[in-house]
Amino acid sequence: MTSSAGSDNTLGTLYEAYATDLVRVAFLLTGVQAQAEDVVHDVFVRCAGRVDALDHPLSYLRTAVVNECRTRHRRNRTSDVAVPEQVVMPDRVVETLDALGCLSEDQRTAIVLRYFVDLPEVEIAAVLGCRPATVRSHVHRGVAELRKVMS
Amino acid sequence: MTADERTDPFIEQLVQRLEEAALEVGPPERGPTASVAGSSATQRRIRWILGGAGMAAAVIVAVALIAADRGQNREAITGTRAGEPDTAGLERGEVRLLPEAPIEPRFGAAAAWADGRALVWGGLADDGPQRADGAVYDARKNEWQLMADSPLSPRVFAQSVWTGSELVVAGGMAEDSTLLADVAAYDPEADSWRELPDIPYGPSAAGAAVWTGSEMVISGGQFAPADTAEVGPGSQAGDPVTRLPVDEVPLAALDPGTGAWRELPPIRGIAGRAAEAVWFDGTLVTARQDGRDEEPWGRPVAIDVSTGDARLLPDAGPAFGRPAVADDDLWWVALDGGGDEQVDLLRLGEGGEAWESIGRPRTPDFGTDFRILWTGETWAVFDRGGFWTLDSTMQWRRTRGSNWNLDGDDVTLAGGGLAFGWGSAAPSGPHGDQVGVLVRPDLRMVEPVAPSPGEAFMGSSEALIVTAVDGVPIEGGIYFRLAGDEVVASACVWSAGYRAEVTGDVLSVDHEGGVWADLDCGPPPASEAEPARRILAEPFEWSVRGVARVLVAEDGTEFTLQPQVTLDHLVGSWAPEDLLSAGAESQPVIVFGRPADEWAAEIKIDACGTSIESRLWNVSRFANGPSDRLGLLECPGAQELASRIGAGTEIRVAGEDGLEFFDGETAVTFRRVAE
Repeated sequence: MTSSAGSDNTLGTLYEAYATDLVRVAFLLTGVQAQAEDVVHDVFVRCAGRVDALDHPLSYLRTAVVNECRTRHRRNRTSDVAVPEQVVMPDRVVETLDALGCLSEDQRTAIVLRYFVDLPEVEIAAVLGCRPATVRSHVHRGVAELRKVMS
Repeated sequence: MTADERTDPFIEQLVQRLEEAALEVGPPERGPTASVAGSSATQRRIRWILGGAGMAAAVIVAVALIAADRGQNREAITGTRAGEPDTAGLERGEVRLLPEAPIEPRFGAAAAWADGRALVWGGLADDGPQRADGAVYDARKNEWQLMADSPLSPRVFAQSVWTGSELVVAGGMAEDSTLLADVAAYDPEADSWRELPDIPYGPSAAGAAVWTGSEMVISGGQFAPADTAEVGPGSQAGDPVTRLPVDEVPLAALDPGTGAWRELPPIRGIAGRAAEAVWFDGTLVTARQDGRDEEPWGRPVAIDVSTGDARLLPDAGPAFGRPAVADDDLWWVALDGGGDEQVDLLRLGEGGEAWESIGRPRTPDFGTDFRILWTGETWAVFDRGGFWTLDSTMQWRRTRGSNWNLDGDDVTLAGGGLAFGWGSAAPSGPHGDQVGVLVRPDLRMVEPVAPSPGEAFMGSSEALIVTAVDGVPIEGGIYFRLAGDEVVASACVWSAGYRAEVTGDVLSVDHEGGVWADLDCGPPPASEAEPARRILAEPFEWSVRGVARVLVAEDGTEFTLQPQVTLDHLVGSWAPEDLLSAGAESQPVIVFGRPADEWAAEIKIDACGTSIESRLWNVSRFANGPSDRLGLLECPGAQELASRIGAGTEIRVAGEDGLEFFDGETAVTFRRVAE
């Protein structure tokens, strides 16, 4: 993902530039495409009034997407409102998502940001609102868990 | 990825599979069912997922929310709240809630405890973005003051040190994730900043920063020399994310007096980034952080900054840890590799050849983001569950009412016997959206005492020792014996100014193996009385009749180590005759001493009355000879034993069940008192 959509930070421009990548991040965090799209849409809706004033909207949007995924994850844990829907995906993808599902919320987020988005620890820490050392702990333990699960 | 990660097949596979999974998702315009058509894999599986709203609905909502958002005016935090009177310092055990700060709560700030003042600058506010403001909390005046404007741009995770007169802030990460190299120093006396030369090795953030006494040494963290930048998976050209060279970690030293940097040889041999570090014995001590399985993650290393050579220190155990300096010793705050983040405090022994555990404190359920600090007097912990102090019995004690919701991601500092915490309040408290506390931990701060029911715990399968009542440690414990559910023998003990005795029948056994029994507590007999000791901020109530909860091991042979004695508070000893004459093969006799006498013993006598196998569980520093207290033991074996205990008696460790820790001054610990 590029860091800037240029000077034209209109909602449409930003959506065009970043929505797909952000949905993919949200998909890895939620495991559900429809929910990932909802997350990104909601984030754009909420941020639309302020992103045009931001110099670097991607960091802002990415943080908002991650936070929204985490919020929904917590909400879903205590809610029965989910409506199941069938989607067909390759086995390997299902296995990957299932493996990610074995991680704690923090570990999953750190793993996705580290190895998919390819963020360095300090940026992940800025997104998660924690110390870089805490990120290291989440990544280390998350990888250890994935080694077990995916083996 | 780091170099080590690049060579890790599993990490490579993980990256591939994450990308593979993410590519299942196309542009959101295709709609939520597009992935069925978009997938090219031949093997497919039904996956149940949650439904979601469509784009059309989102756009409709967008219009409404954009309008609403533009109509909102967020109230800025400005000015200081009226401070409390100058108290000239906190009493032991005192907790002070701070007035509201003139800046927003944040994490990743440059911060330092500076002679009664907390300096906080920069960081990332909860609702973003990076900040360039700061404030000073003066503990003597109990008030905050805004810092003068800084020449530095907004940033998070800057490297910083307190030099004794200035807070030096170097580098950090800007809002667009750009790493920074500029440096400035803040003088709280003058409330002014001055600019200093940039970090010579270039931009960096979240690295090690220590004050040697004359220089600020910084190293590692996230750094990005231009010639090492590359684009990794998931990135595109132009992405500011850069990769790390891990073979060499840059190192430099700044003399704030002259404003001159000294470039030092890069650190070699730790294959990772130096991060949290301390300055100890002329070296920079940190943890290697390469994440490789074959090497402990977080292995302690000492770096000679003049050569860049890294020397491995003794292994501190499995995974995760950081160095600390306390009482002029080097410590390692070790967290095990499990999910429960057990804390172990290790001190580097003389000669530096091994870490010595102070007796693994039974750790409460600290969250992953807790912060452990040395206040200058004791260890303390901020975590979401409260504020904890390691007391003199090596147990973590939660401070009453400390539900401040502060942890290591907030600004937590310590020094001069004080602990400082400041961060967001959730939910909002009396001081708005932030909470700040200043604590002077009392080594014996404990939870409130409820007269009844009492709480006590710990013992062996047969002879039980109650070590606390209502959360108040009973130094020496209450010793009694069970036969089935009945207390057949007991001995009262008085310590810390009160007397407690188990009486009557056991009331119940709970699911943890705890035994509940009647308990009488009261003042000691006049003949044994010693000057009353205040054990809490609130005086303990006399004549408490409560319920003792006694935890016993499930199999009767193993249970968690429990520190039993703190010599600072020991005032008595006892050897209940009725227990000695009960005829069991293994009868425990426990004798405790006074610190003034410099003796203490916990003694196990097999077949008391017939012979003594000299199975001393532990004996230490009987500098003044045997105590006449031993004469209380009315059995021949005990007398013989008493005669053998004298000056120079050595500590003995009787296998796994024997002494675990005792330094002659602080605590006696043991596992079993009955076969």
